[in-house]
Amino acid sequence: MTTYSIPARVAHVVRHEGEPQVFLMRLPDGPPVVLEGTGATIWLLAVDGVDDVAAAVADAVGECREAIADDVEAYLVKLVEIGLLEVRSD
Amino acid sequence: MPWSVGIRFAHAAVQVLADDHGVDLLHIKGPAVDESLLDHERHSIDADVLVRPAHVGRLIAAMHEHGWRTQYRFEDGSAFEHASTLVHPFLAPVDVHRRFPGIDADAEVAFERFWEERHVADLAGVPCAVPPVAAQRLLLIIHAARAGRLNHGDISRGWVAASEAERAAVVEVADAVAARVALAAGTGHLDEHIGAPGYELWKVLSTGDPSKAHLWVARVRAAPTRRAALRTAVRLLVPNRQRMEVSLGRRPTRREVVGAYFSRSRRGAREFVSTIRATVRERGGR
Repeated sequence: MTTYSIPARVAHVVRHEGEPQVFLMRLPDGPPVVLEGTGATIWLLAVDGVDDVAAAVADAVGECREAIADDVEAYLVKLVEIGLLEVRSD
Repeated sequence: MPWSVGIRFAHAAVQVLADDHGVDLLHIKGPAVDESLLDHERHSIDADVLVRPAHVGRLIAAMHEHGWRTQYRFEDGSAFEHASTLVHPFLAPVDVHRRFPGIDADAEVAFERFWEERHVADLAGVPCAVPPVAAQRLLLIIHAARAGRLNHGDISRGWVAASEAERAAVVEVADAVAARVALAAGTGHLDEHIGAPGYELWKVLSTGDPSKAHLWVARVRAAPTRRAALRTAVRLLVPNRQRMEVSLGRRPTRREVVGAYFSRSRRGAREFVSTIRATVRERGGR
């Protein structure tokens, strides 16, 4: 399983008022990005080192893993592409 | 984006620029304050950094290269000329301090005193250097005193509720950076410094004296040299075009500048003139 971490030059602030919100900004120029709801949950699980993010999200939203795995994987790939997440090398 | 997030991101962005350009700076006030000195989240309007004086120009140049614009130069700010305000399209403003009002030691010496005992705080996930806790107490106390807010929570938490050992540590730092008068103003001991340089200024500031004339007199007399006294006196009399522009949202017309000049003049010309005369007489040999 791929694991993820927060890139060194990404500022992040997490807020838990109601649904989780994750504010992110590549430093030093940005622009800032906000992830909300499921998007925020996926990012938080990924940077928490969860091995199977899709399974964890499925468990959180009451779906079966297979139903959402492709979407979660695509979202993680996108986050890596835009520099808001990085694949852990260890 | 919530304002509090914009402030944290501003701290983080400035720290990265500092790292990239070899700039030493300390994050002060706002979210940089140690948790032990908080009883709730601090609501700030900007991000404050104290920069090694020799590195200030380098930092501001780097900020300009990354979308920041100088809104107020040092000379546009307070009479202390201690900070320059830079603004950004989507981040909170940053006040770049080259010194801190109330600290009378050489700015480089004072910075080094804080820098050598710095801690690291996490601001938006970025490791940021902050002054030691005793220095943070000192900065918060003298900042509140300067605003005439002697009942401010920063003084309650930073001094009133502090242990004897914690107070001693604050006094030690204040001695090291020549801030005893300002500290005394914030802790109710200013009368122990009657006659000391800065006493009159900090009495006016800390008591929230609304008289601009009194503040003129105190600021001019607190200036370390005759040249500085004259510069301060003139600065306080002449309207600041940059502040007028920000206030008006456009460049002030010549008529508006002249109007502001005479408005100020009428309010305080008599005190101004007598102050200059008195200061020149008193400091003739300096």
